[in-house]
Amino acid sequence: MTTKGYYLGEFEELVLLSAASLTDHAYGVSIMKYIVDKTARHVNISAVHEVLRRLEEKGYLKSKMGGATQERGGRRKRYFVLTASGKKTLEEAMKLKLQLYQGVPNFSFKPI
Amino acid sequence: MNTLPPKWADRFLRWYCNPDLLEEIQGDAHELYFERLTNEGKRSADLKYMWDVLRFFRWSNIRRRENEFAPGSGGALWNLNFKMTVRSASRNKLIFVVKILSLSACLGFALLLTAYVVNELTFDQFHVNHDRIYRISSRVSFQDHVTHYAVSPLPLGQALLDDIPEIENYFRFMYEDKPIYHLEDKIFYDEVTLAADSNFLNVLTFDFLKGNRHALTGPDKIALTESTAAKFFGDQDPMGKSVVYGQDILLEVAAVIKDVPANSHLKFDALISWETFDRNDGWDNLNAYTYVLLRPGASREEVENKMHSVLQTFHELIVREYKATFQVLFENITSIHFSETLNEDIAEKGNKNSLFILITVAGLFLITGLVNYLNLTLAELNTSLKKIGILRIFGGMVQGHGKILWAETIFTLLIVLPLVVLFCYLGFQLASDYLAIHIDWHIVLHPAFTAVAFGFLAILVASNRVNAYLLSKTSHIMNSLRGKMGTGLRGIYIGKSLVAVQLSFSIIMIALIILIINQFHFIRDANKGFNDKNTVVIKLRRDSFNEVTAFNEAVRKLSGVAGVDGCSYYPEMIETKYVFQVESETGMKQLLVPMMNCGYGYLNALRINVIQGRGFDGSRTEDASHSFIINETAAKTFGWKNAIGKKIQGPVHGSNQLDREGSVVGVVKDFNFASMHSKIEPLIIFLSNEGWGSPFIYIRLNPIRSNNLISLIEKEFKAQWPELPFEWEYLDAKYLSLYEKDFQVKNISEIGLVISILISCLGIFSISALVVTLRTKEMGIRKVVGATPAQLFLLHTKSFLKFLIISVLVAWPVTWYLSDHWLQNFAYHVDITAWYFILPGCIAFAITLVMSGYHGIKSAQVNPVDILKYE
Repeated sequence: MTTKGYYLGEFEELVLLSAASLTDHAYGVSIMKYIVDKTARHVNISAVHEVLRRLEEKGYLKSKMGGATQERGGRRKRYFVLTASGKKTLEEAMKLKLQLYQGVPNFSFKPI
Repeated sequence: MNTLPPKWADRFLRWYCNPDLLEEIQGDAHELYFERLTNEGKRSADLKYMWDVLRFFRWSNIRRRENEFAPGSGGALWNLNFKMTVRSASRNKLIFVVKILSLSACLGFALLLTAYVVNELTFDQFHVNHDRIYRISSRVSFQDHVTHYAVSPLPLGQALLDDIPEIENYFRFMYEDKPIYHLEDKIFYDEVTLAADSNFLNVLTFDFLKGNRHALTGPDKIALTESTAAKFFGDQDPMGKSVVYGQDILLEVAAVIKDVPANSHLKFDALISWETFDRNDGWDNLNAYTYVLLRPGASREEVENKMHSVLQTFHELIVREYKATFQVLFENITSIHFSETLNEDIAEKGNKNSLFILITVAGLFLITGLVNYLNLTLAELNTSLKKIGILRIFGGMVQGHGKILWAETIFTLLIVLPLVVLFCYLGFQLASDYLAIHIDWHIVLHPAFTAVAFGFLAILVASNRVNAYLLSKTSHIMNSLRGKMGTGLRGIYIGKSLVAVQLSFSIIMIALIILIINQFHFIRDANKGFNDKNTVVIKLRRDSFNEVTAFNEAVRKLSGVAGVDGCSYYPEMIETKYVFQVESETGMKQLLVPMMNCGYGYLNALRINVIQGRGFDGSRTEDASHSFIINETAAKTFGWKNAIGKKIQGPVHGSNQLDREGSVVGVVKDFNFASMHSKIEPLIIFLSNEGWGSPFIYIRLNPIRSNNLISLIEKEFKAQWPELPFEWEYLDAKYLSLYEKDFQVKNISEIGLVISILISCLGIFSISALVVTLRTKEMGIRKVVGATPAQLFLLHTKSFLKFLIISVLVAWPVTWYLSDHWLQNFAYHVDITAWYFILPGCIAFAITLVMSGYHGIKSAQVNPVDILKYE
């Protein structure tokens, strides 16, 4: 499997954050809806699945199948939970962005 | 209302999706679907569902992760698969060996043929600019005769370069007729030598080992090929060394190039720079081979259109002086190999008809090899159906026994591929040693060759997959467990029709070989009109009339010599045509006629029959310059009923200078000096003199003679010409060598015949073995209810004879087409008779009867108890 090293892509970060926010209810459709809600982007479910699987392979998420359901023909859902290393990666990403943000001189943000 | 997603989309998802991921993917997709169904309506939900299914169609969802517990998968179990393959191979050793050998033999032979065909089809493509290089040939029309020469006037190239901007470069070369090289005390004279412009090496692409493209600039330079350099100088560095050419020309070695590739229409051993020789550089010297290089993008038609103005002055000259018209034609360098042989052509020519046959044969070999392999595999699989069925019942997955088949394919390939390489290697060696077919090794890198090789492997693997698919069908397996062999029998029909294809192939091959062999006997025994047995020909590199006469006299005195005299013609030579004026009802008529000059004793020495008048007579003085002899065809062409006494003048030189005038004293029976490929042409014969030398001395030997006669002749030769090499040949051997290309085809097809018969024998044998195993029980029951062994035998063989009849019917038209095609190469050939069709059919019948009969007898003799107690 190809992995893009151990840094996060933009969409990966979104998915990871959404999965973290949804805590116990994070599975494909709910994550997709959460992202659509928050960003008003158009996201296809297959892309979410792809990223979830990649994140799991990187060790940022772990997953298990839930119980039988009513609403989707009895098919089970795969629930995703943030791991310790996932959490750490998110924090580091945040820290890095803050650092970069603070490095920007003030006058750049002045209205022209 | 239907509230489910579109069925086909769902099915598609289930089909491609990895079963491990299916549940979550399908679940999510359905969840979204139901939500959209309530919010957006059925139509939109359906469309979006399809879109989602399409978007899920990606490699990571399709890819199956190894299931370690499925039989025959996973790393460790591969070993088991191979073990099973090896075991089944060792259980059916005969079948396995047959399978491997027939597959590798067919593939090897087909690849060899492909290599030959590719070699022929890629002639001259190794020149970098091959698409822009054209040879200029001249078409000279004189009265009704059009003669197409490969040569052109010497100044033509330069004139074209000066006047036509589309021409970027040109070069010309002359063929050195009788080269002799002196190196200290050694003499070499076999080297094909060209005297070439310095541009020769610029326009054409040859690889240099030493020196560079400018090697032929300036006089007295020579470029040698690698093997010639080795022959001349051994291990020493040839660069800068000198070699004497002819009498006294001192040449300096300026370059060594790699040997000319096998697929070059020009074959040469040495190139001497053009400026070395002084030549008549006029337009009347029509002896140079001229090639031009067009500028990129220039079209040949454009250039040809501009030719006319360039040639204007030359046209006027030739019309005035020779009353002929002259036209030049452009021929792309890559098409020279297959174009018709022109006058004075030195290009190596190929035969597209033979090639067509070889392609067909190669294709048939590929099919045959595959058919046999598939039949035998099918036979084996049918016997192992039960095993697979049980594996299936115990939870084996479809891909499980697919993998068993993979293992088998890989195992087979591991053995077959080295064998094929070995066969090909031996084939290349044998071809160059015994068939004189030289193919460069690098031809195997040509895309066409690799395409055939990989195509075959791909078909092999694909057919294996088809087998796996058939086996994976549950019904098939259940039937096999229930003891029903119905599906197996359906496979047999496919197998049998494949065998019928093989059989037709063999019938075609047998018919063609009979035809080819017949044609060769026909050629060998045909009445050529002269006797080539016991005749020796000596080639001279000088043809001074007095020297030849003195030598003839000396040889005539030797005991065992029945006749000797010189002649200007030799079988491999292009016949020389001259303009003659011959008598006709409307006065003297100018005609272009092939001619030959010879000594007094020549017609007698070759036993050429004079059917009218007389031969040349040494005691009549007028014969020396006033007598002509013609052949029957000439008499017919000139329209003479009684040819004796008719007037002939010529050959005509320049503007109406007559060489000699006289009348016909005799007519000889037509004799065919060229090969049977070409028709007999009219011929005028007159006596040699100082002006008309005869460099070929024909000596008829008595059948009873001493063994050292040749060495006695050589002694006389050395006494007359101490500095010349003694080169001689038997005429009949020389004559047969004219059919070298045809012999190659004959030899190849003979080998092909043996292989194809063997393979179709094996094919019938194996399929009948399969039929017998599948019908064992039936045979037992038939026997119990009273069938006689003879009836059982008939029952078994009858089914094969049905296929025999079909294959014969298929084979006949193909045979007819191919034979007709091949025979068109010969101006004189045997006729196709019914025997060519009946005999191969009979042979095929015999093969079928014997090969299937073996099992027929076996099944007729079975003891029903042994078979039926099985249950």
